[in-house]
This record gives sequence, C-alpha cells and structure tokens, in this order.
Amino acid sequence: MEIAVMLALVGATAAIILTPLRTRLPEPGSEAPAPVRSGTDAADALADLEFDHATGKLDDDDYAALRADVETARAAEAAYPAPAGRATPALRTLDALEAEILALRRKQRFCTACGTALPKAARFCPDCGTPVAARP
Amino acid sequence: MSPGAMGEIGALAISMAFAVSAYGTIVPLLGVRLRRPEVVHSGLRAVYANALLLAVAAAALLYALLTRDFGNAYVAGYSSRDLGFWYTLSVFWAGQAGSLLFWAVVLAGFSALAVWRLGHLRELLPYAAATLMGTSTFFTMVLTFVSSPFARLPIARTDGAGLNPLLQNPGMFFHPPTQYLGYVGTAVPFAFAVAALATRNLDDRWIRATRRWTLLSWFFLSWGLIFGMMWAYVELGWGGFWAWDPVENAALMPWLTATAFLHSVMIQEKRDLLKVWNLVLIILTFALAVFGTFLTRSGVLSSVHAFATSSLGPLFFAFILLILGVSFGLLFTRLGALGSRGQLDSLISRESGFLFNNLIFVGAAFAVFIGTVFPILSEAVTGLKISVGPPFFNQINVPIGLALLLLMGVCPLLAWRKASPRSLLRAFVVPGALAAAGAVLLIAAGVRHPAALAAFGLGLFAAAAVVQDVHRGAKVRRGHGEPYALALGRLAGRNPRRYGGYVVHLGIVLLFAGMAGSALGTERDVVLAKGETVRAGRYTLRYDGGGSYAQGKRLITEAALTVFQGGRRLAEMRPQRNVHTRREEQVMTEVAIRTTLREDLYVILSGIGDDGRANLRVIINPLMMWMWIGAGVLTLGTVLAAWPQAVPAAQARARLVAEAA
Repeated sequence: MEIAVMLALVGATAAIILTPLRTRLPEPGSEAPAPVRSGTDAADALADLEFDHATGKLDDDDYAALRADVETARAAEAAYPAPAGRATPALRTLDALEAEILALRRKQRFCTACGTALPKAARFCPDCGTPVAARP
Repeated sequence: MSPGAMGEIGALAISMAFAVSAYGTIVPLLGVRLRRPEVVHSGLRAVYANALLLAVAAAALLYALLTRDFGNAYVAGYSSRDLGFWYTLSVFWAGQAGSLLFWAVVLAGFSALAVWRLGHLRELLPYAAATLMGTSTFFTMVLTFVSSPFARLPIARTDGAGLNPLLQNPGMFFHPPTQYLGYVGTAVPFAFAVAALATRNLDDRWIRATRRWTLLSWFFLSWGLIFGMMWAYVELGWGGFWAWDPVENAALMPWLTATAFLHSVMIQEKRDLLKVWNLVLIILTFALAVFGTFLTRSGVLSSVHAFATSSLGPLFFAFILLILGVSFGLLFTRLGALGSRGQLDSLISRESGFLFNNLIFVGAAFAVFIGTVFPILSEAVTGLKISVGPPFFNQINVPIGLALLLLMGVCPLLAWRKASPRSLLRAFVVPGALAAAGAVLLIAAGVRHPAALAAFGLGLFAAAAVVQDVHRGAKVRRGHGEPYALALGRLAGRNPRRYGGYVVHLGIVLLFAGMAGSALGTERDVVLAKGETVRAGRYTLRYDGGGSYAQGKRLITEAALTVFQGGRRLAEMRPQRNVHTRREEQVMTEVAIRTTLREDLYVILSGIGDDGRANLRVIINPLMMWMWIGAGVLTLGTVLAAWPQAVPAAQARARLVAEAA
C-alpha cells in the first residue's frame, strides 16, 4: 500500500513535468508579442488633470499649462504611434530606439556646434563652450 | 495505513519537492536559452508538481498530528493528547520544521496560482517561475536535510510534550499563518521584478500585473501585525500590545517597505519615475520577509542569541545574501536601461508628497533594522552585546508616525504634477481648523501628553482632508446631475484604488488614535484584602476573595472582583494566574479585560498571598477598542482598493485611448 502510494506520487510528478517534452513546439519569435500600452498614460494624465482642476486643487493657469504639456505629448504619441505587434526582435529594438530618440528630442537639447547633449540648465556647451541658443 | 508509513510518504514528497523545485529553477531558463518552448513549458509545469508534492507533505503532517502519532518527533515535541482539535491543527506552524513546511506549502500554492493567472506575461514567466522555484529549492532543501517535520523518534512516546500554553490562544491560531501568508506573498512581485530585470522588460508591466499580489501580501502583513498585537495584549498580560521585540520588528520591517512600495509604484505607473527605487523596495521587502522568517524561526523566540545557536542561522544568512546579491547584481547591470523619462514638475505636488512618504517609511524601516540588529553590531565592534530598548524605538518612531499622519492629511489636498500654494492653502482651511479645534478641546479636557495631542490633532486633520477630498469629488459629479449618493458610489467605482486607499487611511488614523490613547493610560499596583476596594479612573473595584484550584494539568489561582461605576454594579472580573505543572511550572497570567468604546479596564493578578490578600495591577487603556475597529476599516479599504474598476469607466478609458491612438 505504502509502496503503491509512493509510486503513484513519482508517476504523477513525472507525468506533469515530462509530458510537455513529448511534443515539439514552434520556436518563439514567430508569434506576436503582447501589445504595448499606448495612449493610456496621456488619457490618464488628462483625466487626473481635469479632476484635480474640477475639485479646486489646481489653479486655472497651472491647469492650462499642464494640459498643454499633456496634449503635446499625446499629439507626439499619435504622430509616432508606439510600436505594437512588431514581429522580430530586431524591429522591436529599432522601435524602442526610435521611441527613445523621440523622447530625447522632446526633452533634450544638443549643442549646435559639436552635438553634445546639454544638461538642462546649461548656458554654454560643457564640451566646446559654444553659448547655448535660446530654446526654439 | 500505519502512521509511520504516512510519515515516509510525507518525507518522500518533501525530497521530491526539493528535486522538482531545483528542476523548476534551472529548466525554464535552459529552455529560454535553447529557444525550446516545450522545455520552458516543462519547467513551468514543475511549479504545479511542486504544489502537488508539498500538498501531499502537508496532508501527511496533518494526518500525523490528528492521529496523534507520537513516534513523529515533531508531533511528540509540540502536541499532546489533551490538546483540542483546533490547537492540534495550529501545531502545524507552532514549531520550526512545521512552520518551514507551512512556508514552503504557501509558496508552492502562490507560485502555482501566479504562473496560472499571469500566464499572459510570456517573456517574464520563465524567469519569475525560476525565481519562485529557487526560493522553494531553499526551503525544501532545509526541510529535507536540516529540519524535517517527519523525523522519527527511536521509541514512540505515549504522549507528547504538549503545546506551549502561551500559544494556546485564538490570536496565536491566526497570527502565524497570516504573517507567513504576508511574508510569502511578497515573493510573487519580487519574482516578477527579477524577471523584468533579467529580460530587460523594464516598463511598468510587472508592477501592474502583480498589483493585486502586492496588495494581498500587504493585507496579510498588516493582519499579521494586528493579530500579533491582539495576542500580546490579551495573552502576554503586561498591559500593552507592542514591545519592540526583535520578532515584532521583524514583522514590522517588511510591512514598512511594502507600504512604501504600494505608494511609489503609483508614481511609476503615472509618471514613469522611480523605476530603480521601486525595484529596490520590492527586493528589500522580500529580503526582509525572509529575514523575518529567519529571526522568528532560527531558535528561541525573541532572543538574538538565536543567531549563534541554531543550525539554520548560517543557511538563512547565506540565502538572504544570495537574494540580495543576485537581485542587486541584476539591478546594477541594468541601471543604464532604467533611466526615467518623466521628471518631477514641482516640489508641491502629489508626486513629491509620495516621495516624502517613501523616505519616511524607508527611514523608519532602517531605524527599526538598526535597533534590531544593534546587539549584534555592538558585539562585533565592542565585544559587548548591548540591546536598545523601547525608548530608542519610541524616540525615533513616534515622530516618524506623526510625520506620516501629517502627510496622510496633506497628500489628498495636493494635485498631481503641480499644486499652487494658493489652492493648497484654500484646501487646508477646513481640516486645519478642525485639527486645531480638536487639539484645543483635548487640552481643555486635560490631555497634556504632547505626542498624544499631536497624534489626535494630526489624525483629525488627515481624516478631515480625506473626507473633504471625497466630498469635493462627489460634488463635481453631482454638478453633472447625479444625486449625491450615486455620485459617491460612481466616484469610488471609477477609481477604487484611490478611494480604497483613502478608506485604508481612515483605518490607520483609527489605529493611531488607539495607540495614542494607550499612551494616556494609567496603571496602579494595589494589594487588597477581601472586601477592600480600589478606585481606578471612573471605576471602583472590590475584591471579593479568591483561591486556587487544580484543573487538568493546571493550578489555577483566581481573584474575583466586582466593578462599580458611580455606585452602580457594572461587571465581575476574574483575572487568573495559572501554573502549568506539565511545562516545568510555566506561569501564565490570564488577564481580565472589560472593553468599551471609551477605554479598556485591564486587570492583572500578580498573586494571592498566604493571608488571602490579592496583588493586583489595574490598568486603564483609553481608546484601545478603536485599534481593532481601525483594523476592520483597513480591511474594508483594502477590499475596495483591490476591487476591479467599474466597467463604464474602463470603457470610457478604452474610448479615450482609441481617440488618442
């Protein structure tokens, strides 16, 4: 009896673990990855802004300024839609890079003379000393 | 089947679980490396096999306990024939081997549930499963080689040693499993954090996917603390509920970091900030959870000597180092990819409020950690073991608690991104005025304790701020033509997470009120002859006599008291002091407590002299009941926060997303 239970335990464990090995599955990569979220952030941010404004936590000026920010981000997302369902890893890497570049462009300034990425408050390029032009 | 055979099956199941856990740690990663999905699949199946095997082991231990198999060393060591059904069940987690098995079983169950429910996270799953199974490998290894619940005695005993009477209390029936559920629950978000790091999927998907797990484990950690406090209050019989004992601290630290994590993930989800910080927090939380298990289970409860004496000490220490090494190693190699795209818009904003909250929680965890391990540190440095007592912890944590209350009031008044000082001041008026009025009233009523005054004032402030914010939200909706009650319901349904959080805050305010109340408590020691009375607060207690009698294996000494208030007879109280003859004359104080919403009357019998005079300690603990009510409110809030978002709101959101895309 005892031996039978033990054998059953070993058998069940082996069956659970080893059955998937019997059928060979297609290699990964050919299936579409889970869709990447897009737009939700901007929509959420807008909803939060509106709510905070309506409940009196946000002044009209701040509300207008922040709303403009979010709208810009949303427009950028719409113009360059977030990568969704791109098949190969290489393409996904490209998409990720492009998104990175887009984000950098929105925030990051570069030296007009040598192309060095500039710190936020810089008035001169830390590399070549060229004065930083006023933000376009 | 003979009891011995059942034990052998249990032991086999545990060693197989060890092998299967190791398989589940290695094979999923191997499958990813080889690009062979069927190998990954087989590795993931190990999670289910592990759950099955540990369930069998748990059943075998329960069988041994309930059939009173005193040939089993664990059963003989912790239970006895006269132990009732429920306490016999609780022996499962009363000792070291059993509680480690309990850990492993819960982990196996959670892992299986997580792999099943989060199957859509294809890329993360193999790594998360490997992390969970790696943890399981450690625990099943300890159970197999070091501390087996199925070890046999050379000669079976006729009766067991029995369960420590201190543990024979309903609080102790619920406290350990709740605490362990909380500890083990942190393993799931931790595993997915490691998976996110390993696969470089560093967006907030792992956070969103494991949000309910985090909430669940936070909930259990909270109740672990609450049950522990209830047990200490009722059973330890010294009048308080918290003593800053190492084991209590061990339970508090992961709660602190988990609470910080619950808050800071919102910043990452909303603003893409604090990515590294969130990873650090969940790693620390899990490491502290294992540390808590280790402190509790490495030998003698509440003794730091446990480090040296238990064979488990070095093993656990190595395991914690492994957790920290692997996860921080992964984190450091991914730092470059963890840059945040967002930035803080303003110092006065809800984001920065959350940031302060995080600093405070982590600061508190750090202070508690230092205080807890101070004896070890001091021994290493000076050769002397110096313990820091409650004064150290109170000095640091009372201001920290007050600062948290303040933040809890300020945060709901702040807008996301940016709040102007003007609107903030406007929002401050009502809660601020209420808090000030409350403090003035209390001072007029004679309350002079500064920390308690501050706690009540700030608690009022926080509660008023929450109520005001909810009211304002409902007013906005009512402006769109909804009746107030419906507006309130829809408001909560639209963002259950925020409003559930608010309800939790109200519960925390009540808990703080109870704690502050107990700081205002009074106590006095008296010796009463039969018929004599003593005044305590509003009460008069009359000692009606007492005596000793044997009951089973206990010698019970009991004093009978009648409580009067204003000449009216209120109740009878019968505090006891019992000697357990079986347990080397262990003495147990069974306090008598009379609870009202206003205060607890708490009577301890220190002894009855040969002359028949009773030594009593009479304590008045104001507002204690509110702690337990606060715990109930906290539960409601957690359920609300975990509630799925109302469907219409989700649809509206989907529409917005579609527009934006």
